[in-house]
Amino acid sequence: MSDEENKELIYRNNRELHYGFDPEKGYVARVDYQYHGNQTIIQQGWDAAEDRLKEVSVKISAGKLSPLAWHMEKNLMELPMLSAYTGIMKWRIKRHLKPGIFKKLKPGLLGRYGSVFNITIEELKNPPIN
Amino acid sequence: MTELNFEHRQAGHCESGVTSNLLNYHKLSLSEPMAFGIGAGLFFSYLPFLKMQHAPVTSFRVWPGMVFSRTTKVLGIKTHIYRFRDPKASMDKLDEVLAQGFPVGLQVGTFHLPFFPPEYRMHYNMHNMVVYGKTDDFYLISDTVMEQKVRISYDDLMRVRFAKGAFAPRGRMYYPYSFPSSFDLKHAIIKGIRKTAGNMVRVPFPLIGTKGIRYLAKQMRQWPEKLGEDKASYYLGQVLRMEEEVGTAGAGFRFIYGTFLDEAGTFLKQDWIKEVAVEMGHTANYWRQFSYLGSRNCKKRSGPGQSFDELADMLMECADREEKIFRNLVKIR
Repeated sequence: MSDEENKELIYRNNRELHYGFDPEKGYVARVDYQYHGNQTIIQQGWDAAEDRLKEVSVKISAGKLSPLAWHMEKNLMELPMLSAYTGIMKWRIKRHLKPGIFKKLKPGLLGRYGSVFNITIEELKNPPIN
Repeated sequence: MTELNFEHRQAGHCESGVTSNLLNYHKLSLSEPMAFGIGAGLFFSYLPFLKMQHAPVTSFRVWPGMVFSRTTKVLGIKTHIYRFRDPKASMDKLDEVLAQGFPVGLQVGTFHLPFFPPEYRMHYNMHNMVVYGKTDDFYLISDTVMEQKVRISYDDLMRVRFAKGAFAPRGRMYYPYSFPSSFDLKHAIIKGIRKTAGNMVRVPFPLIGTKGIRYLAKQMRQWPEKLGEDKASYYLGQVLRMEEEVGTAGAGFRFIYGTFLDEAGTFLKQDWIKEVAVEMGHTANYWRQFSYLGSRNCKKRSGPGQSFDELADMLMECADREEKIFRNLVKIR
């Protein structure tokens, strides 16, 4: 990897084993960070998640979605997965995404959501939206 | 407290790495590419009706668990594979097997994996790692992605073993326990190559193998018009993430598979396989070029990158080359 390309690297947490093919030398293996092209596509995945989170935040501020939607997006979860983790039916979760219904939820149910997201009920009700 | 004398070796792909390292512990030396090739890990499928992370599923590998089971089966190695309903029971069983002196392979989800690099912590449930010991507070882990051995708490381990969603691991654990006195590596290699070649060119279904690559190419041409630029580039990014991200060893497993073919040619003393391995290497580099050019389309706020038509042409070329390679390999005796 050239120095210039190295400067562009976003993720330097861990080196991995990469296989490769050099037309001259044949097959090679080396331990290094992901090369910058791969880092770009990894970042795209996270950027898209961030954009979705912003969209949801706007909708919550406008009173169109409940805070639950923010935590789902923050944890990259969709309905079927959240349903599997909480054991709450999908149609019920859908109802809980409505602000009016979410406000009336009992602590027991809120606690179940909280434990899956690993947060308190207070945090569940008040996601950090500016 | 248990700590087995387990050698941690990094690998390009988690499951073949785990398989190779587990066998290595029992004094059966099989390289990672060999395990991958014998287990017939290479594959291609495009499943537009299945969505993951908001985009269609593209896969460059076989179903999780198959590399380990095929490799051990064809070599005549006896294994135990368990799944569980009850998380507590799965941890008890793990403790029991560790105490008997066997390192254990586990299928886990990566979202809650605390030692994992943060950029990889997505809901990906097909990750594999080895538990090789236990202290009072921690389980000792060899994860082929990581540079060093790592450790994880009881609660965290239970959580990742029971991750939910697509391909939920349900506590899946596996380990080899009995080895034959001799085995036929030649037969295993040939069988593995034939299986992969068959999967790539002989499955009469449009979404699988080289046909699947062509199908994806055709769809890709229409993405910008059908989905708009943003979504099209996100879909493209998803294909590239499946191809290049962690655990593929690069270019959708094509590099690791080529390495296997190279080793296989040497072992079988069949030079034509080594020639095919070189072909595979050039093709893998072409896949890499495809993902490199494609990744420019995935950069935020950049101008127009490569056109989707050109990228689709490259995919078509990949399919043509691989068709040639695997039609050749399917004849192996």
